Formats: sequence, structure tokens, C-alpha cells
Amino acid sequence: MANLKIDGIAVEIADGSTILQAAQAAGINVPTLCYHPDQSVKANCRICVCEVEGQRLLQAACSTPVAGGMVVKTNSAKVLKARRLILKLILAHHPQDCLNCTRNKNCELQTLAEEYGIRDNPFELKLKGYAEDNSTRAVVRDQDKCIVCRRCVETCSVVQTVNALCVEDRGSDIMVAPVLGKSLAETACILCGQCIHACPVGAIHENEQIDEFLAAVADPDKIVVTQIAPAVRVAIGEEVGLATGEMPMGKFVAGLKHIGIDYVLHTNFTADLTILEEGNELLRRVKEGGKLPMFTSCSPGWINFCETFFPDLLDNLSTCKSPQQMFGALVKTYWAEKMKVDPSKIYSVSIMPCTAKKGEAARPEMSDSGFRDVDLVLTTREVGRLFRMSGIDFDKIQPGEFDPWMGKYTGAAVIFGATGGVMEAALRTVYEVVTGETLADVNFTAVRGMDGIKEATVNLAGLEVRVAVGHSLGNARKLMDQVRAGESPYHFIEIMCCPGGCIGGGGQPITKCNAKRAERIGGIYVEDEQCPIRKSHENPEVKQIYEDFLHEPLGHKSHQLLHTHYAPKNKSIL
Amino acid sequence: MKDFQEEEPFRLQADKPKNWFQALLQGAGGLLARGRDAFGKRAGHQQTETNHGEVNQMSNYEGLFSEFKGLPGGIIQSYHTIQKEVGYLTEEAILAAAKVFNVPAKNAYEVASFYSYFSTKPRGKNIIRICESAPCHVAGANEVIAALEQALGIKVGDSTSDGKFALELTECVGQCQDTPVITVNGQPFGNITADSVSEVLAQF
Amino acid sequence: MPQELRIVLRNVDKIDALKIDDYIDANGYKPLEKARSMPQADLIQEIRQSGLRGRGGAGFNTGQKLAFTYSAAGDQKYIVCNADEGEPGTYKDRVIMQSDPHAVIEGMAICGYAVGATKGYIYCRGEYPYVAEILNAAIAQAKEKDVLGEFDVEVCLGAGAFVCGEETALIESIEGKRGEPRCKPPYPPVSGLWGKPTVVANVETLANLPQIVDRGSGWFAAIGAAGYPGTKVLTLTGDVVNRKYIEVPTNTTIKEVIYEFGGGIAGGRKFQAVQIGGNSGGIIPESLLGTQIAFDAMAAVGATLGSGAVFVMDETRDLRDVVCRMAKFFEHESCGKCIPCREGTMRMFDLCEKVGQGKGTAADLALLQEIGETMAVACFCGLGQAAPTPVLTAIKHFDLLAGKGCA
Repeated sequence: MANLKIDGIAVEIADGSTILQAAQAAGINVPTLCYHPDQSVKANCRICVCEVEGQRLLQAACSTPVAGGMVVKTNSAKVLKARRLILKLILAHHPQDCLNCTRNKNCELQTLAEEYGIRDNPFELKLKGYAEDNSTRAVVRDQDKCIVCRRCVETCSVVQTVNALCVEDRGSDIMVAPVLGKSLAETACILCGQCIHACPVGAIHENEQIDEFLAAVADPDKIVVTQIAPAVRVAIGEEVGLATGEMPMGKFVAGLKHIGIDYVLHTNFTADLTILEEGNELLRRVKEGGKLPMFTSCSPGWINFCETFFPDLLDNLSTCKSPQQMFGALVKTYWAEKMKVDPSKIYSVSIMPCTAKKGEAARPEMSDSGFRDVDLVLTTREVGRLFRMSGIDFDKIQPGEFDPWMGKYTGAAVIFGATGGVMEAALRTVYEVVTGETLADVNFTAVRGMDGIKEATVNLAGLEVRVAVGHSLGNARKLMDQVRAGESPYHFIEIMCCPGGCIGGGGQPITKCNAKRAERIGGIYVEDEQCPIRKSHENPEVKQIYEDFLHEPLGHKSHQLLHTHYAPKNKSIL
Repeated sequence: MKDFQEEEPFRLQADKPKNWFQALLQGAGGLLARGRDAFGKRAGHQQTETNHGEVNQMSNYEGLFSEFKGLPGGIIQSYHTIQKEVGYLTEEAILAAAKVFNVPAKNAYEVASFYSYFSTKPRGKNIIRICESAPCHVAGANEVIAALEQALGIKVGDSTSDGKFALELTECVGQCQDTPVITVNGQPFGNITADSVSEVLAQF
Repeated sequence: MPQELRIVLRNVDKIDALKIDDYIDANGYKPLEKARSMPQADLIQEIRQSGLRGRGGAGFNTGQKLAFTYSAAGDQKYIVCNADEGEPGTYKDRVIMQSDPHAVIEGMAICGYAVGATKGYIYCRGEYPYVAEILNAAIAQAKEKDVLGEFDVEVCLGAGAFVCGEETALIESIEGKRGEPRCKPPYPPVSGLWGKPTVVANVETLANLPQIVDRGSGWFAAIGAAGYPGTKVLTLTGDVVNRKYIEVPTNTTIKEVIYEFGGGIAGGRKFQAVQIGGNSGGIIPESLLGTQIAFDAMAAVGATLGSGAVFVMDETRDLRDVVCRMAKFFEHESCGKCIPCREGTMRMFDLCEKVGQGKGTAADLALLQEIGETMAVACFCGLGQAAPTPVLTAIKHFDLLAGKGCA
């Protein structure tokens, strides 16, 4: 332990801690920009500099280890002068259009400019005038706003191992940009949008499609039908001033109706359906000697990753479409039939925690209903914006109800939103289907939580099934390398592209740290516990659709509407 | 996840080529002879003819680079060689380097774009650099720059249309006993005046 | 008249650099043998007692650096020779390497024995491919003669990046990466090349070591200024009669350097200013010419010894133009990693350009001062911390708004 003084406050902290950590322990907020709690220390923004007694140079709090007897001043005149000048230097190289920025009121630089009272700037505004990179359908880069903190680069290269973004050139020409001077679409970018969360400013954001939505709800000829992904509810509250997880589902439904949506249904319904299809697919592969291990296929960022980096393993992917696309294919067929509406008039909107879903919905093959299966994907953030725009007071709004046929779901579907959830849901169903016994405890806690790779072995009537769960593509890569080398011991592997699973998706409220992801996961399991039904195969509407429409898992109709195949992306820049 | 910085290719190996450096410097010897064969007509030197798309060229880069695989900082040394041959670092060269050194294209490109002696854009064969650091500056570097621009008919940063010369600025090249100094392909020429510029150019 | 004292340049013009036998005949590689006959701790103590401090600019006690590396745990340790001299007006390391490469290699081998490192790298700047060739030839000869024993040396060629003179940026570059500095701590003696304990030392520093081992620490410590003993190789450029290199004891004054060794100001003109230590050095007025060219003496007057470049400007030079040029150097050579350096060097150049055009105001100078003072204490590495020095010292000692002959 080291004993030191920070602004006169005595602090005792473990050796190896930084001044920043010691200051936090002392209750002092030292400003940061390049610092990210889940990343390596970069110390390149220099905003966190502090004065250390006996040292001529100011020391970056984020990178300087504490020492016994150290006397630190975090807010001396010298420190504040340096920080204010650094802020002015950054601001003079940053667009002054905060009012038009996606990160207005949620920007680390804007916050600091306000806190440090930057009123006038002696430096002339210098912008290079780059055009926005909107080459992908999901993630947009605004080069001029980038402050080169490199957080997105680390996320892209270390967390996701995608390496689409790089640090290019040097000196005042330095920039963070897609590799080899390409557009984002030409790189290996898998559209996960994790860079958006890493960005302290508005240099990266989702392709915002609020205008398309408003036009659709205003069109009297369109029947606007929406699906809500499992991970959205626990996070949407953060967008409208509620605590994490504090949005009751009924109020969420009411809010969606308020912004003009005609029918509110749930992706959870097709999540339950996925378990029936995917569970049976797994059993068939095991029985008939199909390709194993089988990988889940719910996460479109992961699909993009597999197509790009592991094209040789595409046969290991489950052929199930993601719940979003199953929903899209069914809403314009089964649901239209049930509701007796003209499918050509249905405008299918999905509300997703994900940016890659925008790309998935636009895949040419996703039109098995005879129409575009999903017309528009809105992220949780975009829906939050629509809610704020519509002035809804969620304390007072009366709860609403899901519309019929595709709105019922089980706890097994709810947990799709967290890493390990698909696996746990599958195990709940597969166990009972195979053994014919009722599970004594539906909770498979071994596959829960924020550990990067989790594994479990389940005994299914004498058959030992080995499963693994990986979240974030860096962990996926480890599992895939094992498969490629022929050393994978598993039968079934769940991969979620984003850290923590969909609750940490690229379209969720800006999420700086994994601690927030863990908090949302907590909300997911609370909701699961509260569900009266917690196994997918017990969902009454799922039973209904098999009786009335699909007839059997992996049957002809399923094959037509719910399954697909993926193809290598053949990217050269990897 | 992979820690690319700890990858094996950067580690020392006992069987590294011993002659790489001489080859690099003299533009002769085994390595570059292979390189020359690989690039056929040396298309890279005539920028308009630079052929980026050929798969066989890519595999030849890989062959050339693998000679440097076991060297410390081998990627930088291999870029020197490529530049000597092709004049600049083509996209194919960078991607081939990434493959050989087992790093993502990102890392290979980040390195290529960092150093001022590497260029990722086509440029003339003979690279003239004029030092503009303070000692050369006060000794009349500006007049030399003007004379070079006039003699070559190009501005600093450009290449002549015949692909023969590229004109670049540099900081101190460490020949300050003879300011102002220019270098051509790394070879220094001191005490340059506006009048002596053409004499130097005539040698290339 | 003060005389040169040649320690690291002792063999210049006396031996053929490419003939190892010449070097051996001049007592070469015997100090290495002597060093290897001493216990490592004693050898380090001897070097520490000599008072030798780094000749690259930072002035850290070399023996101390060896001691840190010696005591650091590591299965493999490295000796790295920093031959990336890039300070404008500096070419001393080139002269040493071109005329006496074995002295550098022997110095590295001595360090290698002292700390238990069997591998060394010479990081030679990309501007010196012809020097790298000499070094490679010398290494080959040393291996053939088997004078290095287990110690192996390799040359890495840089590719044009001033920042690689910063020791951790240099290490990154050897590893084949962008030459950007690392966070310190950990310092290279604890975690350097490939994360192993590493001694990074300048060419001139290393070339001193065989002589110190040979003649003893007492001999060396008695030369020159007490706190920074020994000699310093200086390179004289600009408006001085003799544009040449010299090696003088560190208690020599700037005035002696310019007027005795340099032969005074060229063309019979008057002195205006001198910048010592390269582009990162302070600009010194006539009143400070009595300062000794020793690390602490220079620091005491707000200047730096740095690389030992001596850049003289006569009365006809427009200091605004020269300072502007110096500011542009840093704008070009900043690696761009940290914000105060990346943005600060750019803004300083902008303002200096304005001042250079005669359009500067007192407010511009005040702003230059504010940027400079912040950079000096807040930048990530030594490059950015030193970058404002010429501008700050020019503002301090001269009237930059006045223009020509403003001293």
C-alpha cells in the first residue's frame, strides 16, 4: 500500500495504482479524454496532468503510478492553465457544431469545455473539411470531429480484432482513419459499432434513420409494425432519464404506440422460435454427424466477422436467421395472414441494440417474404431520441400491451440480450426435449457473466454436450482459431459480437465501460426471473405457429423463411 | 485475443540473411536481383504503368519480404528494399508485408505512413531531398529549392512527368559542415548553390 | 589558447576505420578484455565513478543506467546504441561512427558484459545508410576476429523520424512499429526492447567507455566541468569562420568555442545569437557566452547542451525567420501522439510565421509563451517538452517584434 496526499487529502491505495485511481478514491474527479477504464493507458491527451511535488514536469494522472509520500495537486493554477490551453488547442481543431451533433449533451469534450469555462479561443478554427464516410449502412465517421485519442482504434483492433481503423500519418497530419486510406466499407469493418461507444466525441455514430421512420408513420398507406429486441428494454430507460433497467415493458409499448407505431410485437417471440429451430438443428447435427461445433448465428456483427475472417468455417454456422430476420420474414407472411392485412402495406421496423442489424436488414437475400423483410432498423439511441422528441413522461404514461400472434415471449427469449443467454435458453429446451424430463433448475449460471469465454458440459441422457460462450470478437477469434486448428472440444458455441452481448451493442445508449454492461445484464436476469414461462418450447404463440403455419421445426416452411446461408466476403484488407 | 506485438516474426532467428544490408545499400546482390526479376520492367518507376492488381506481383513481394522475416524491425527494413525497387510502397507491398510478418494490414500500414522516408504514393525514381533545417536554411536552402524547382519544372512534393525525379523536403541530414545540403537517393551533396544544382542532376 | 582534447575522436585521421587491426593496434578491444576481467558490479561502479553522463542530451549518469539494468530481472537483456542523431546542425555521431566504429561497438560490448546482455542493436538513422554500411563492415570484422566473444551486434536502419531519437520511440522502431514514445515508467532499464531490460546509450557516450575502462574513472572525472566531466564533441555551423567539429573539455566556454575554435564570426560581422544543442536548444545572447558547455551550466542559464550543435547567427540574420524555421521543424517532426505537441507545434509554427512576416503583435508573443510554457511541462515526451525552447528563449533574450538586428 502507498500513502500519499492528493489536494491535501490523505489516501491509502494499493501499490501500482495510478494517480487517477488515487484521486478517484479521494473523491476528486480528474478530467480525462483518452483514458478508458477498460483499455490500455494511452496518456496522449494530457488533460489529466497534475502537479507532483518535486517534479518539474506535470504528470499524467492516468499513467503515473503512485508512490509513498507523494504530494499531488490536481487543481493548482499551473495545472488548470495547462488543461485550459490543451482544451483550447483541441477545440480549435474541432467543428463548433455541437447543436447539430449526435453527441450533443453527451460528449466528453463538450462537457470539459463547459466545466473549464472555455469562452473565447485565441486560436483560429482549423478544419480539414473531410467528407463524412457513410459508405456502410450502419456506422458513419465524421473525420473532422476526431481528436485522435485512439480509443476506437484499440476497441477495433484489441477488443474486436477487426483492425478496420488505424492511426495514419504523423504530426499535425495524424488521423484515425480506415486502413490504407479506404472507405470504411472497403475495410474489414463488421459494423459492430463498438467504436461509437469508445469515441469520446461525435466522430463516429450510427447511420441515423429517424427521418425515414417519421415519414413512414405519417404515411396513411403504411401499416407500421415494430419488433423490439431483447436487449433494448434494459437500456432504453437510460435514454429518457430513467435508471438502467427501470423501463417497465408496458410503458415501453405505450411509448412506441405514442410515437405512431400501429402494432407493437416482440423479437423475443422469434427468439423463442430460434431456440426451437436451432436446438433441433444442433440435435440433428449431433445425430447425423453434421458439422460441429455449431455456432450461433443471431449476431450480425459476428456473421460479418465469420464471413470476413473465417470463411472456411461458414458451414459451422447455424443456418438459422437471426431473430430479427425470422421476425421480418414472418411478419409479412404468417402475421399478415393472421391479421388479414395486405403484406405489401406492412412497414416493418425493428428496434435494435445494434448497428450491424442495419446492415443485416439490407442484405439482398433477406427478402424471403416476397418483400423486404425488415424495412427499417432503429437503434435504441434513435428510439430514445424519438421518445424525447415526442415529450413522453414515462412516470405518467399508462402501460400498453403487445399486439397478438407475435408478441408473447418467455424468460428464455429475454436472456438472449446477455452473453450466454442464447446458450442457456437452448440448454433449457434441448435438455427437456432430449431427456423428456422437466429441469429442476432452469438457471445455467456457468454460462452467465462478463468472463470473455465461458464453458459448460451438460449431460443429456448420457450424451455429454460441451458448450462454450464467447462475447466480443477477440474472444470469438480465440474459439475460432481452435476450431480451425481442429482442436475445439465443443459441440455448440455461442458467439455474441459485442462485449456483454447485445446489451452492449453498438446501438445502445453510449456505454463507456464494461461495468455498465454488467449492470444491464443484471436487469436482464431480473426480467427472466419475473417471466411466468421461462422455456422457449412452452411459449403458447410458438406452439401456435407450429400448429397453424410452420408445422415442424426444420420443416419446409421453416427452411423457406427462417433459414439462410452465408458466403465468404473475400476482403483483401485484413 | 492475439497480441500482435508479441508475434514470432519480430523475434530473432539465427538463420537470418547475412547479406541483406549490403544488398539493400548497393542495389545489387541476391535480394534485389530477385526483386528486379519479380517486377519485370520495373513498372513501379513509371507511375502511370504501375500495375497494382497482379496476383503474381503480390506473391513476389511476399517472397522478397520473407527474407526479412526473422530480422528485428524486419518490416521497416523490408520497406526500404521495396522502395529502392519500386520507388514507393504500393498497397500490394503493404498487404504482402502484413502477411509475411503476420500482422494485420492495419499495423503494416500504420508503420508505412509514419516514417517520412516512406511514401505510399507513386513518386519519381531518383529522390532528391533538400534539407531545410536551420543551418541549411540560413546558408541559402530556399535559393536551392527554387533552383531545383526550376531545373526540374516541378514543385516540392511532386515528381517529374518522366518519372525520373521526385523532389522532397527533409530535415537535417547530418552533413552540416557543408551547408546547404541535398541528398539524391540518400547520397549527400554539400555546398550546393543555385548554379551547381544542374551538375548534380546531370549525374542521374 | 584552449586546446582540443580528443577522447572519442582520438583515432580520427589516425586509423583506417575499416581496418580492425588499426583499431587493435591503437589499444582497441583491450579495454573490453580488461572489463571482462572485472566483476560486473565493480565495472559498473568504475563507470559510475567516472561521472560519465549521457551525451545524447538527457545527461543521465551512465553507470547508474547500467546499474539499473544490471539489477533488473530478465532472461535476456539488450544494449541499444542510439545512433539516430537528428538535431539540426549535429553530425558528431556520424563522425565518430565513420572514423572509429569499433570504439562504439567496444563500448556496447563493455555495457553488454556489465549488465549481462549478449545482444546489441545500433539504431542508425535512415539518413545515414552509408554509415550503417561502415558499421556492418566493422561488426563483421569484429566477429571474424572474435573480439566480441558472446556479444552480438546488429544494425537497424531508421526511416526518417526525428522522434526516434527518444529512447522508447527508438525501441518501438527497432521492433518494427511506428516510432512513438512509450509511457514511462517503466523505463528501458526495467522494460525496454521486447519488454526486456535494455540500456539505451548514445554513440558518443558509448565511445567514451573503452577509454574510461582503460584509463580509470579518476582520469576521466578530472577532465572538464565537475558535474559533467569529460569532453564534448561539438559541431559548428552557421555564421562561424570554421564550420567544423571539435572535441573539447566540458569546462570550455561558449565564447571560446565560437571565437577560439570557430575562428569568430564569418565576414567580420558581429555576433547576434547562438543556438546550442540543435533545434531543441535555447537561443543564447552575447551576454551568456561565458557559460561552460556542460550540462548543468547550460541548464542554469535556461539553455541546453543537448547534442552539442553550435549554430551561430550573425547580426544580419533575421531571428524571426530563423525561429520560424525552427518552429516548422517541430511541426514536421512531432509524432502527433499527444495533443499539446501535435496541436502546440502546429500553432507555434503558425504564430511564428505571422511574427516572421513582421505582422506579429505582443499578444501573439504572449500566446506563444503560453503555448510554450504548457508544452514544456505537459507534453508526453522530451521532443514536445523541448520543442518550445528556441521560441521561448528567443522571446526572453531578443525583441522578436523588432525585426532585423534586433539583439
